[in-house]
Amino acid sequence: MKLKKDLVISNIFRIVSYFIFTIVLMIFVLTIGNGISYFSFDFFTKAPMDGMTAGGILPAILGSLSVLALSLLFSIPIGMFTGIYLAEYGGRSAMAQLIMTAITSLAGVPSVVFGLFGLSLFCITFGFRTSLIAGSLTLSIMTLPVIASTVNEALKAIPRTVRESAYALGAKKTEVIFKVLIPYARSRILTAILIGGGRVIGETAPILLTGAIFFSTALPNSIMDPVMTLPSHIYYISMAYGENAQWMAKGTSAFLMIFVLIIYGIAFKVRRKMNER
Amino acid sequence: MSDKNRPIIEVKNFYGYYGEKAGLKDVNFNFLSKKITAIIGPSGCGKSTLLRSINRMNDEIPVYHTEGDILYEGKNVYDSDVDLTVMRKKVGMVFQKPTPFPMSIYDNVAFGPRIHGLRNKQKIEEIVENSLKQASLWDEVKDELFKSAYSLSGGQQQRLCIARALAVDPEVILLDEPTSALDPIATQNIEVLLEELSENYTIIIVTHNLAQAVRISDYMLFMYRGELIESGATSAIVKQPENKLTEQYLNGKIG
Amino acid sequence: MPIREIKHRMNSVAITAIAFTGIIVLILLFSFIIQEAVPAISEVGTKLFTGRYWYPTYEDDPEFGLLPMIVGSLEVTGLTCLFVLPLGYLLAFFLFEYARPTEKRIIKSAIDLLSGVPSVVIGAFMLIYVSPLMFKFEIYSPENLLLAAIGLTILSLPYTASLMEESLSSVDKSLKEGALALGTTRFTAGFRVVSKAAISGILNAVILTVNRVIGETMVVLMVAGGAAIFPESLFDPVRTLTASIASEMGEVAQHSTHYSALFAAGLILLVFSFILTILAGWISKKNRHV
Repeated sequence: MKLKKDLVISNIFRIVSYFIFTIVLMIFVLTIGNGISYFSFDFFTKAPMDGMTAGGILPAILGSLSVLALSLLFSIPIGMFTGIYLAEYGGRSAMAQLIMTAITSLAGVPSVVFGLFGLSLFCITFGFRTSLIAGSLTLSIMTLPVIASTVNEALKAIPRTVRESAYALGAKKTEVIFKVLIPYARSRILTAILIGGGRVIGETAPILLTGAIFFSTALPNSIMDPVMTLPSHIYYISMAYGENAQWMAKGTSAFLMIFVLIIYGIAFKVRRKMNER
Repeated sequence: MSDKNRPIIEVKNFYGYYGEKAGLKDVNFNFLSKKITAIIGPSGCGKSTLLRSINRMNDEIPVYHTEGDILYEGKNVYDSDVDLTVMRKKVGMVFQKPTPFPMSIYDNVAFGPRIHGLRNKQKIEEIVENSLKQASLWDEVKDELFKSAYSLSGGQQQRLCIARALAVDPEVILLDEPTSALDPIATQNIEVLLEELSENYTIIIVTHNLAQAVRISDYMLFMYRGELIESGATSAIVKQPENKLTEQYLNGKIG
Repeated sequence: MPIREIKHRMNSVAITAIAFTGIIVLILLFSFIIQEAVPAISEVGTKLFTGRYWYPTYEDDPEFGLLPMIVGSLEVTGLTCLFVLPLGYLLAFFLFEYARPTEKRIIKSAIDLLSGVPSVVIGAFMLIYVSPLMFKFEIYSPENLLLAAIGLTILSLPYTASLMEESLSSVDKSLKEGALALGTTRFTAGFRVVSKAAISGILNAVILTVNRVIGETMVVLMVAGGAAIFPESLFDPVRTLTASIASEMGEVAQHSTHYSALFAAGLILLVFSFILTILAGWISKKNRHV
């Protein structure tokens, strides 16, 4: 009789889980399926024209890639050094606890609040105005906690004896860290960077406030120019343009989704390979 | 002065504390040059603590502090002007679990010389080949030097770690239970290797494998609860242990 | 001093100095948000947080009451959690206890991939495919509270489910085996024993989910309807703090009261998330022994 209870419950749970799976699958299929039909050579090489009823999304693609590259340029080194400090230098000191708390708190702050911060610090106080650099700096602050905490945990997970073998050969602390420990943890760190990158490319709210513009014709000339990005483009079209422009939103959604799925797919593959080692 | 029977590491009135607790109590012993000395005893007796105090590996443990001296070639390793990175070239260590670095076999062995400043490619190649030969690994890996070190078996990885330690040209090699993670054949290989190496290097090995200690060592230290109970030539101790505890341990009654 | 030692010291200094960036950023974050919010607080007073009307663009007599948005945020978050917490737990439980290896792998991959989908894409999806369904059922506002909750549920489900599944998995196997050895059903073992042992992790997942949902912007911005009223039914449009900031910031005059009031909205969100984060940290510290 007890077995029957398990059977019933497990099947209910199974059905619900399958249902969720189907919905998720449906979202992927509908978004990509319907959007892909709008892919064309023009779609990827031209700027939008005729009030979003024709043309392509090239400026948005370039804008997103620029934001991605620039923000990783800042967040990777700072995040890594912070993680290294926490794992190898801080120990249990008050300073390390403080930094750890700061990192965890930052990780929980809503993205739109980062947007406000970026607006007041970079756009206004530093005078960058709505620009690529302001948006990238804001997003790099958002990604910093993820990278820092992953590096911290990855380093802490390395077996003690590996560390000691390096010291036993007469290496100094920084040599041990950069020549042995970081390479040892490189898969995990790479996964964190990929996932961080995936987030950067998809975040909309902060970039709306600090870097995005709804229309531009070409690659940003300098980092002080505002940019079109894929997510902000989807937003503007969905909210401000009519039926005739919706095709572009669908196409952009599909492209963005495929891009993100590929990044995450690679990240999980790397993680799986690492777990097997 | 003859090279043999020269004390190379002298432990004098040495105490090691983990916080309040004494891991080592008043240890006195002279390790002789180019001999194999085994440190034996039941779990928790302090044998690893003693070994790790010699190359100050226990510095990594914040609560560990010491009293007394450990002299290497007449100089106290705990002196404040001792450069650890230089000392550890001379006193190397191999651990229980093989720990290859995430790089090729070649780069693993070359790691030590490189960080100590060697740039000459020719010289590095010589050292790598020489060390792998001394560690009895050269023939097995010479065609695959640039494969990842993880592709080697457990026993091979441990010999790689020995080669790595040899590459920085030490005088003393400390080994902390080097074969307890290996199968019997790999263990035998390492034991033969250590006997060969003792021609040129001083070997100090911690082991919980009594038979192993008897097989390969010239001298033995028996430790119990942080104290050095008995020490001396292996053959003498085995034949006629002076201390009751030693006798009990040798007969498997404690440990 | 040899170069090697110089390099080592420089690197160590750099590492320590850069690690401080985290603290500096947090401090700057608070100070800038507070600084920009202060003008509105001093001009409007407590009515900023208790006023029921939000008409910032009226020229003659603008009103800056954030209460409708505060209530909106709370209602959206509450409704979403009502959906996503049980679903997340159920999914986590299924993956932990009942799923066969292939099932587990496939479903987990799908959920993990979902976690990467940007919120704007989910918002667009809801807008394009689900919102029209509202018309079919003759609901007057195709963008409403319910729609937002559904979208947010989809968005946070992967997060919640994976956090909960991790806490269940991290419980020592011997606990589950001990229960099974006593003859319990798998459900009882999982629900009454393992879940209890993992309670701090599960609680942590709940708090982090709430934090995540209340901070979400795009989905609500696109499908919640944007009316700054107090929603009385599931089908009323609603506006949250996050959506107001994102949609109105583009059109405010710098340093106007409106501008400052939006920063005040941001301040509310910042303080709330900070409290939740500290709470989560405190709970996991208390239960370290598990």
